[in-house]
Amino acid sequence: MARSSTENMITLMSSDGEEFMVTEKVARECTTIRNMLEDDCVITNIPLPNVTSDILSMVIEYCMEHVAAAEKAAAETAEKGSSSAPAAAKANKDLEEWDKAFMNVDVYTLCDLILAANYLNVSGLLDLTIQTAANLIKGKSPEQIRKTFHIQNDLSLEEEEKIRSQTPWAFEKSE
Amino acid sequence: MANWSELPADVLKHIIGFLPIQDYHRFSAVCRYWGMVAKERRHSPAQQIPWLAMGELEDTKKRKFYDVLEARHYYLDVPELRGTVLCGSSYGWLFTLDRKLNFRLVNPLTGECYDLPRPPPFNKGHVESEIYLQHYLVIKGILDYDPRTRSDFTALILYGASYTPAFWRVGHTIWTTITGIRGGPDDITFFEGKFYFLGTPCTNSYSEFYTFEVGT
Repeated sequence: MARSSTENMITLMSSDGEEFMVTEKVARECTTIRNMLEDDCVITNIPLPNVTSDILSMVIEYCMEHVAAAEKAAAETAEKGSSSAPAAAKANKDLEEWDKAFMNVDVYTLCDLILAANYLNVSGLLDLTIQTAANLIKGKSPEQIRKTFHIQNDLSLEEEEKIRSQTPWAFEKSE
Repeated sequence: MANWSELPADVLKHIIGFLPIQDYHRFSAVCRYWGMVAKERRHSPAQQIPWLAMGELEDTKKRKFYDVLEARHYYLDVPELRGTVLCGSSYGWLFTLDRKLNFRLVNPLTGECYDLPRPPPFNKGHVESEIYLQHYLVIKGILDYDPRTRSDFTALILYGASYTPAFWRVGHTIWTTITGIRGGPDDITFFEGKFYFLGTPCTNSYSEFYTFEVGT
């Protein structure tokens, strides 16, 4: 990735003490960090006590990919005077494919990514992870959902029966 | 380690925003916490890919619906739909008509009902034949806004063999027939504040659009 030497670098520190150096542009993808930078522009070191290093590195990977894609699109527009629709469509599709591959994670990592995207307020990543979670829920029975997400059933038989009896059709097996 | 049953409520509500109604109900039966969150975030019909409303089962009188995405049927026991014919849908509400000419909006998922005046020109009476109900009385009904979110909505119908348009607005006691559309409309729809009629004038084969705004 081309990077001008004058670009501000910011150090993000994970909960387990690992340091990640990123450009200000990448860091600004996180609205939470952007707000900090706008409040106090001399910050160069930001501790993130809620995010572990493995999850933070993934969030940074996501932000870098999306910043790079946006920069590439902007450069092409500047070069040709206008953006070519087929090229833009292809770039979008490539980024979608990248997102899809990026979401090939286990449910624990997905949960951590949702929490990190929520805490750092990375709206694109939050939508992506939430949509992925919703897709994992769709078409499953409550029992299958619990199994998928490793959730303990703390409902009593009576409570569960009460919920099911309100909309029995939603719990019928497909014929 | 991350735990799905301890996600912040905001995040779970965000997930619910992507679920169709059947998955919404299954979500609410996963654990106590998810159930509590689901109660706070009502399902919105905007999230739903429409189902096909089908006939009634002869034995149980349950109404059959088909979900195109899941490619399966759902059988809903909705007393308000028993013995009715369906003549339109908007925002999850069905226009239902029975032989006693009770004309109502029914939400099949919540059981909510909204009584409409009897369709013109049959302001009173009784219809024996279901076929007649189905094909000659109300052809199609649509709403401009969702009665759950707005109390001042308007309904528009096409009725009778000549597809005569008529509208009703909250507070009115009868349907008002709309005249002046040449040849009668073939279809009606609502988009961004206006009702649209698609008509085919008798003199040529081109279709014409008419728009119609309901005044207060």
